[in-house]
Order: sequence, then structure tokens, then C-alpha cells
Amino acid sequence: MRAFAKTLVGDGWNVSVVTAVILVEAVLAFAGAADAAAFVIPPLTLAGVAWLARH
Amino acid sequence: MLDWTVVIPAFLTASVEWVEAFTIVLAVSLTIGWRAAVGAALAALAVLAAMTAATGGALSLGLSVSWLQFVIGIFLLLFGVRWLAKAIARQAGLKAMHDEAEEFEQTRAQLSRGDWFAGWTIAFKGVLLEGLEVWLIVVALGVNGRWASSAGAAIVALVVVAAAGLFVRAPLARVPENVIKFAVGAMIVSFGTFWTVESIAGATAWPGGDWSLLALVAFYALGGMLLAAILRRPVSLEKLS
Repeated sequence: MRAFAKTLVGDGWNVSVVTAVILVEAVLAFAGAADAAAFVIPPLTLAGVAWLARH
Repeated sequence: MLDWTVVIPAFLTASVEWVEAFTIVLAVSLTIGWRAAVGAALAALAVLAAMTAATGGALSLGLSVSWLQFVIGIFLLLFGVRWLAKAIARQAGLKAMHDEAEEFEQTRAQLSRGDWFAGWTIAFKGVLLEGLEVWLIVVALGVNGRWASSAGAAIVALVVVAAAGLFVRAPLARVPENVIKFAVGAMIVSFGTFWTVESIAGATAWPGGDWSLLALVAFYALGGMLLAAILRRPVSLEKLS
């Protein structure tokens, strides 16, 4: 079961990065700055990828 | 009508996973025989096919498109971010490259006692776990009527890998796995970003509409290459001498 879950979602660090990205998307949308998401989210996601690559 | 934006990532993802599954089945077959090992692999593939059919049916039950995009987008991000990060780490020398020959030897070592049931279980679990990622991608990319493209690409990949494996009769170690993982990671993260942003911020969130997807793939691929170069471990002078 643990192997199943890890295969589907990855480890805790992976989940944390994606959760942070989704939270920022939600904050931008609720703050009325949804148009900025297209420019903010890709660099943020890449920063998360860089962080994961180093850990 | 095939959708190539779905076929390419689905085929590449499935190829990488089937190569890994083939290595396990090949190692097990040397202990418990081809018939039993292939039987275990077929049993696992049947479970995956049933899961795909069940999930596909559930996703076609009139769920709102934006909710579907959001949930699937999150899974694509979870999957793609992991693959892209691993590929960058391997490219930068921070993590060892995946070695099919080593995987093969490890599986054989596990089966040194020649236990038939243990061998069957390893082959079954191996194919099932490797196939889970294929299932995820097939389901995620197959929504909105693209099932033929996503499932078809995964099946073609299975046939290609099985044919190549039978021809070579050895672990498929020459497949450029890291390059494929890099490319697929960039594509899957792009889909995940595109869908989650569109579902939260609305259809007008992306300035170029669907064309933004191509820009995202380029951004993540080039960004990933740049990161790999930045993170690359310098070779020590001791090693050079």
C-alpha cells in the first residue's frame, strides 16, 4: 500500500512542492490576480523542481 | 483521430516504465521460467486494464470539466515534478543514473533461493507498480475523449518494448532513459500547470490559449537544462589526476 501511494504521489517533499504551487494559484485567484498566475506559476514550479533536484 | 500532444507523452512515459517492468520479468523468468513470469506480467496487466476501464468510466460520469482538470492537473504535477527533478539531478551528477543491468542483478539476487511463489509475486508486483504510472498518465491524458490516443500509445509502447526485449533477450540498458524522463517530465509538468491554472483562474488565464502549452514545454525543458548545468557537480582535481 505504501509503495502504491509513493508511486502515485511521490514522497512528502514532492507533495509539499505541489501543495505550495496549488496554494499560490488559489491565493492569486481569490485575490483577483488570476491573470498573473500564467506568469507566476511556471517559474515557481521550476523553483520547486530545482529544490527537489537538490534534495 | 489521434491527438499527438497526448500520444507522444503517453508513449514515452509508457516506454520507460515498460522497460523497467521487462527487466524484472526477465530476471524472474530465469528462476521460475518464462511461462510463469509472463503469466504474472499478464495478470498485472489485466489488473491495470481493469483499473483503466473503471477509472475511465467513472471520469465520464458527467463531472464538471474544470474540477476534472484541477484534480488531474494536481496528479500530473505530482508525477511530472518528480520525474523532471530526478532527471535534472541525474543529469547534474547529484544522483546515480538508473541502471537496468544493476536492477536485473538485484532482482536475480532476491530470487537466489528459487522460490516459485516469491518469483511470481516479484514479477506481478513489479509490472503492477511500474504500470501504475502508465495508468495515471493514460487516465489523465485520456480525458475529454482522448482515450484512443492515450491508451493506444501505452499499448503500442508495450508491444515495442516486448518485441525489443524478445529480440535482445537482455535488459534494455541502452534506452536513453534519463533523456526520455527529462522530456516527459517537462511535458507532464506543462499539462499539470496548464490545467490547474486554467481550472482555478478561468479559460482566459493563458494569454495564448492552447498555444501556451507549447511555450510551457519549452520553458520547463530549457529551464531544466539550465538547472542541470547550474547544479552540475564540479569534477574534483583528485579524480582528474
